[in-house]
Amino acid sequence: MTKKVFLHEDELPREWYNIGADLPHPMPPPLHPGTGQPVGPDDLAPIFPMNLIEQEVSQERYIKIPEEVLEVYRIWRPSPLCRAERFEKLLNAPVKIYFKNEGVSPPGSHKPNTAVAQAYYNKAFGIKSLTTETGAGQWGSALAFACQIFGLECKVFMVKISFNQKPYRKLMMGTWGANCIASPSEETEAGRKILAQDPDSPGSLGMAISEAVEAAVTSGGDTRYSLGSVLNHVLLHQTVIGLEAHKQFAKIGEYPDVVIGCAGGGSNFAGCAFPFVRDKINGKNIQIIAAEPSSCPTMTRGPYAYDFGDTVQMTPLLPMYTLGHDFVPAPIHAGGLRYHGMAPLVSQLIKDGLVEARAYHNLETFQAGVDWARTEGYIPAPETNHAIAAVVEVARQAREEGQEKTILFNWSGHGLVDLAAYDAYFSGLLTDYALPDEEIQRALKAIEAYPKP
Amino acid sequence: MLDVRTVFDRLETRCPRLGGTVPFDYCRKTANGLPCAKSLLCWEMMFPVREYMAKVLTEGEWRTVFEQPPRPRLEVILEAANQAEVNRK
Repeated sequence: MTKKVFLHEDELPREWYNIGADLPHPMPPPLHPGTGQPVGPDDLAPIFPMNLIEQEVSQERYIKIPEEVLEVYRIWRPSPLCRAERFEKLLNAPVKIYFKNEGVSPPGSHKPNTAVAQAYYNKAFGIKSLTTETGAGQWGSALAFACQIFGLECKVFMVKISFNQKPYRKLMMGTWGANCIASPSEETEAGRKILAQDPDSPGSLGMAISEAVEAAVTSGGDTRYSLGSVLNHVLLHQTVIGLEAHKQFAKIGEYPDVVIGCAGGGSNFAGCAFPFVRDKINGKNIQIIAAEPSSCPTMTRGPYAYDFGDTVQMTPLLPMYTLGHDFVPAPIHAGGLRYHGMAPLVSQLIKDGLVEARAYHNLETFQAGVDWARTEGYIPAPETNHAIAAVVEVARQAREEGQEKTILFNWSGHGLVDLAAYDAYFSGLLTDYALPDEEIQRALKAIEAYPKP
Repeated sequence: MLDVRTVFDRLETRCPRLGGTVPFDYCRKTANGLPCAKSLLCWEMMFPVREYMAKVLTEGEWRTVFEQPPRPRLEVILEAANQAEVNRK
């Protein structure tokens, strides 16, 4: 049995695949919040370089990968397509499980596939410095690495609560020469405003975005902003993963029945899946699953009541905390809320029925990740565990139905700098109903006692 | 006296946005003082968060947080850029 399928370096794909050209229903253009008109290149020019703006709106099916980007990709690409035979044995199901190991990149995840491309295009446009925000630091470290390679300065605004929790990501960024700053910071007007109101603010992604964008647009012209998920050009750069997988499957005369990726912001999922969605659009019978985080077990989910897409909740609001209200909220099911933060392209494919979204509970994802580590050896990133949980579910279904299936999933990164998350899992912190039932009832009773308006 | 708003603050869970562990105290006020839109989803297995939110939010706040269609990321970025320009001027 072949454990790993390699491509030669000269077999690295020479083009990225742009699924925008093949969408059954084209997406409406984003609207400018100030004018209500479709966003044009001039609106984006202070934020992104024009060569990336062109990719963001491109309808070309294939976009050439510059030789300078390929040269850097060769540090770790083509990544191996691996067979997870030990995990297959554990699952005892009639499935072949293949995974693209994106953990072999220098920062240990799929993120540099776009970080390298974005750094290159900014450099080619004459930009000297990039800014970005990061939550856990996976994206920040990927951009730090890419900027170092292309000789760009890099400033990363890291949400303060994560900054204080994750010293190793911060050190990775520093090792690659980036300046990692806890957000909110004194470096920007947006940060100073927040700190004036709350000097101990733990920050948020919304604040970090505001700081990173401000640092770029007020720089005087030689700095731009960079984003690691959600946008079309980001998803485009990631398709090198699935395009390689395509070639690797051809080498062994196989083709997957099911393709799985974790879909937080969408880049991880899109990278592996979009080239196979292309095949599905062209008539191939293939199941494509976007695995998402959820705290609720699968069985409790209802139909989607709302079709949300993305939010960072930036609207200025007055915190009121008026207690004692007791209205009956309209039903909102988990399905709708899950769309927050997902890329518009991925949301569109779900709406079009080309991609199926499934949510997995924290506990089942970590259990899947630990089972993986104890069979295949590699410790997955917590996000990757969602895809592994989906693999487990598909394998169980295959066993119940007595159907043989070949599964491909994106092993998007290792979890060696996320071991605190495993510690939380092993110490029972993520357990359902973390409070004893009596304590919950006591707390709810206390709420009930408040006077009604 | 028990503060209704803080009774669940010490609980912790994994934030899918930040990729780390956060206390409920963080989630209930991270959106400019209002809860994160994902908080119902993230906390429903830990305690009856829906009942909690219905008690501590006004109906208008509930709608703002949980029923408003979220804005696309690009729109958020453009607004941040506009705000930065305004601040600079």
